[in-house]
Amino acid sequence: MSLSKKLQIFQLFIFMFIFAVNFFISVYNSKDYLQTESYNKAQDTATALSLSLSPLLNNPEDAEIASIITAIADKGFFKEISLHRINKTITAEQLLMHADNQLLTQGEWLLTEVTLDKKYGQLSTNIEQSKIASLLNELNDEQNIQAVDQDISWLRFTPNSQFVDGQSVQINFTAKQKNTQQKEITTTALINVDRSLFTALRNDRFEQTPPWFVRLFPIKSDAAKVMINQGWEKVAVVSVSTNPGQAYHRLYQHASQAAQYSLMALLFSMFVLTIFLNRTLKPLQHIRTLTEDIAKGHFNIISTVPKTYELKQLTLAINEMSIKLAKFFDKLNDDINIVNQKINLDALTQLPLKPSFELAFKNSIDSAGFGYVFIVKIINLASINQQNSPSFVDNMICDFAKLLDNCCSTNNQTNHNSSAQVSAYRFFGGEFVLLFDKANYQQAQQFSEVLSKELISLTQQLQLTELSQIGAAPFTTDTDFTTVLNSASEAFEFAKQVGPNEAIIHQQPEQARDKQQWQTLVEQCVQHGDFSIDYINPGQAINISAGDDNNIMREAFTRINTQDGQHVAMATFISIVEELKYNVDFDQQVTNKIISDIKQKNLCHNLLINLSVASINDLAFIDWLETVLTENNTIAPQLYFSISAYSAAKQIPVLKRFIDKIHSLGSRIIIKRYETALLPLSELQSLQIDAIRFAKEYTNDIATEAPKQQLIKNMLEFSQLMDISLYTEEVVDPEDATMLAKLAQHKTSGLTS
Amino acid sequence: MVLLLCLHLSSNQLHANNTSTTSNYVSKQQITQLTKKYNSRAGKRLSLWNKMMIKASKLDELQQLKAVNNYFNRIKYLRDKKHWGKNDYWSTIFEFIGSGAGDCEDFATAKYFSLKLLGIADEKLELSYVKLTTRQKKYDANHMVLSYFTSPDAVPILLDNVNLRLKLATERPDITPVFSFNASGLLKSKHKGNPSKTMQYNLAAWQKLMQRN
Repeated sequence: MSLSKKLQIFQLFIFMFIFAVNFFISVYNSKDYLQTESYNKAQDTATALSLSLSPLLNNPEDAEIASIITAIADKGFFKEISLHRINKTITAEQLLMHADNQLLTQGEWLLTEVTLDKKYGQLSTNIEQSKIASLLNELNDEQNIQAVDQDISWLRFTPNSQFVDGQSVQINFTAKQKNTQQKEITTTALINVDRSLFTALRNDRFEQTPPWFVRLFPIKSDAAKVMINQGWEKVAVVSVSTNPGQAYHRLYQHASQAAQYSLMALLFSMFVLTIFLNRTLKPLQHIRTLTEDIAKGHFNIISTVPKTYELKQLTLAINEMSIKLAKFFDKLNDDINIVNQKINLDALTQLPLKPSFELAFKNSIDSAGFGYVFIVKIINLASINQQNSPSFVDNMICDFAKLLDNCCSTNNQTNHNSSAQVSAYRFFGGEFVLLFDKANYQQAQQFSEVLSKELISLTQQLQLTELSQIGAAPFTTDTDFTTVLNSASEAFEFAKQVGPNEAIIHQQPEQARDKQQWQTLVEQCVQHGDFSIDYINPGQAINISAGDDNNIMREAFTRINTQDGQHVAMATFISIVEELKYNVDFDQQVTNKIISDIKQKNLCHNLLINLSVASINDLAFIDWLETVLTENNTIAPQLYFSISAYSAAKQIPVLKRFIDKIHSLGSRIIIKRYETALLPLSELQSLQIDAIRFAKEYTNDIATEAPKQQLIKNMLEFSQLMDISLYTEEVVDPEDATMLAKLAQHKTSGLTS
Repeated sequence: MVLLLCLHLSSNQLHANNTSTTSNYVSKQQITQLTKKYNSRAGKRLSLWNKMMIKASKLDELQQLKAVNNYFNRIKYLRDKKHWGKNDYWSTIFEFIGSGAGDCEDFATAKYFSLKLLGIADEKLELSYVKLTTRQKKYDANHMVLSYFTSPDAVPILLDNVNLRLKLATERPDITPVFSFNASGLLKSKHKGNPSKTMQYNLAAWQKLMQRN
């Protein structure tokens, strides 16, 4: 879940909590307020009613009492309005009439000693009242003290709060016969007490309020009571209790509004937060993109630094890391280039060495497929060496190399409109080879004449009788490396017969077989699959990437034999295949055969499959490969599709597309005959290469050549950082193998600016 | 903070009697403060009130009524407009004793409070709005008296500053009852929003305050 979503969910919980608390507090406060207001309204109504009813209570049966109460109740605000007496006054006569003893109903009797069970309430008589008056007289020091009543003329029963109207109370009393006062009867009387005068009831109405809301927020409707006086006497109580229906309606409206506003506030705040988060966290996306770019080898920086402190610090840190990584790789690349130069250039003459010539020759065959090879040797070098000092010999060789280089440069500049380019190489000692790529016979002839003149001039300068000869031979796609050199050597030997500094140029290339024969052979192999595949040791692994859990690799080496059992040079065969445009078909045949072998022979190791540039450029081939790898998805991770560094350098965008497709299918890519001059490190990073195999020139004699050791170390650092496997071609010399094993222990030294 | 200040002020005004430990209803310090705020006669009045309360605490209820009624009825009657410059101002017992004058509500409420301090139940006391018919022009026809009920249904005894004697209400033809209120409830409503004044009529809070002094 993204950070933005987490924050939004968190905010939602917080808001819901705050809303719930606020909502309930608000509703409960409103409920309390409404409850209080209802009670106050009831109290005010009771007070007003008491004032209105007070003058009417002389006649409790007065219809006006009922009318007033009914009118107020009909307003709908009240649940119950009741009027009832506070007490019941019973005269002596009434008490005697209700006495159990029927004797008391006749004659005149005086009451003494009236009592009542206190569970009903209190009983008072006129005697207590007169006592108070008498006491007050005494208190005020009045002369005329009011006499205290002796006889009970009335008694007043005041029920307690638990008394239920309508029930009868038992009053115990003693009566004495009046006048004579001889007879005394103690008896009881049962008096029915019903204080209720009028009650108006109105049912609770909660029509507009849902029942669940009523249950959730119960509103008490306490009765407000006001005493009604007549004069100074408290005679009745009016009780008013409100109908909570209206209060519920108002509370429900308030709660609904509060909920609506809260929901709107929630939605609005979520909206604002979303916008705010998107803006604030957008830099995180940039940072993520940058880290992905860095992983792919693009050391960009984020130019717009966010203002939020933490994001700002993170952005600056990422930028700094990217800059440092870029510097590190640049330095690594520079170091590798420097070492590379040291390896590939002759220390004395600064001319490229034989491995470079071989590579250039192969590339020439791959691209155009024709040109001339010149062999120019210093003759009698051994005797010159004996007769002169080592410094003289070195200087002579340098001057010779310089002459060759100048002639090449001059020719290239003069013929800059032409695609034919000539370059010089030092093989060993006084033997130099020139590669005139895309040159025809006339161009070669002209060049040799210029070269010859220059050599004559140098010979005179060195005060020698003769210095060298020139032998040249043409080559085409049919020609292999050894054949053309042999042919050029042959021409050189002829030149020796001709004279000093003379040149002999063969006109026709040597071919082991003619074009028609090659075509037949190629068609036979492609259409019928008439070839075999050997799984050979590809070389030595000096770094295995973390993603490769199977560190045993074999190279699928195609072997073609003619009917008469002759071995066919694969380099030439592949050149013919490309010329005849059978690359895609041939690569399909090879891939099918390899997959079939994996299944049948149960091959477990990783396999290196060579592909041509034409195949990786062919959409039909890629579609076909996708089908095959999808059908064989368990085998796909074992396959490393191999492309030469030279081919890769020519078709970077095509290669990138191919690599992405291969990765999506679970297979991997290896670059063979790798040279930093062809594919710089930055390209390797962007292409997301899985493995590299060095040309053998990088590892031959590595045990004694420090520059090669340094190159391997630098490449190891790079490969460990970029998680790329490193291989070498087969190492023959055990000392070289030992050195490589030792170098393989080297770990990344860390970034230094 | 305001409430605490009011509590402090009221604690300095009057000192109630905790019957178990002290016999005074006000301390000397408080008398001094009242004297300082008003004048020496105010201090004397307060001192006399204290003495009256101490003496009355040993009497029965009717005699307590008489003692309290007699004490306060000696204070000068003065209408609010003239005394306080306001149309209707209910002074506290401190202000009443200190200023030495008041109108009918002041008399009634001061008597009510004193009787409550003496232990008379709140249910027995009511503040009664009455109509006074008298030839004395200095009194308002709208009058207030303190009513004391021996029992809930009894005729009350009136404590009045016009007729200085205790009388049953039925023996006062010059007074016509209009309406009565429970005294504590009326005072709470009257002084709603004024915690210092409300507190003075809250007996429980008053007694607690006195215990701290």
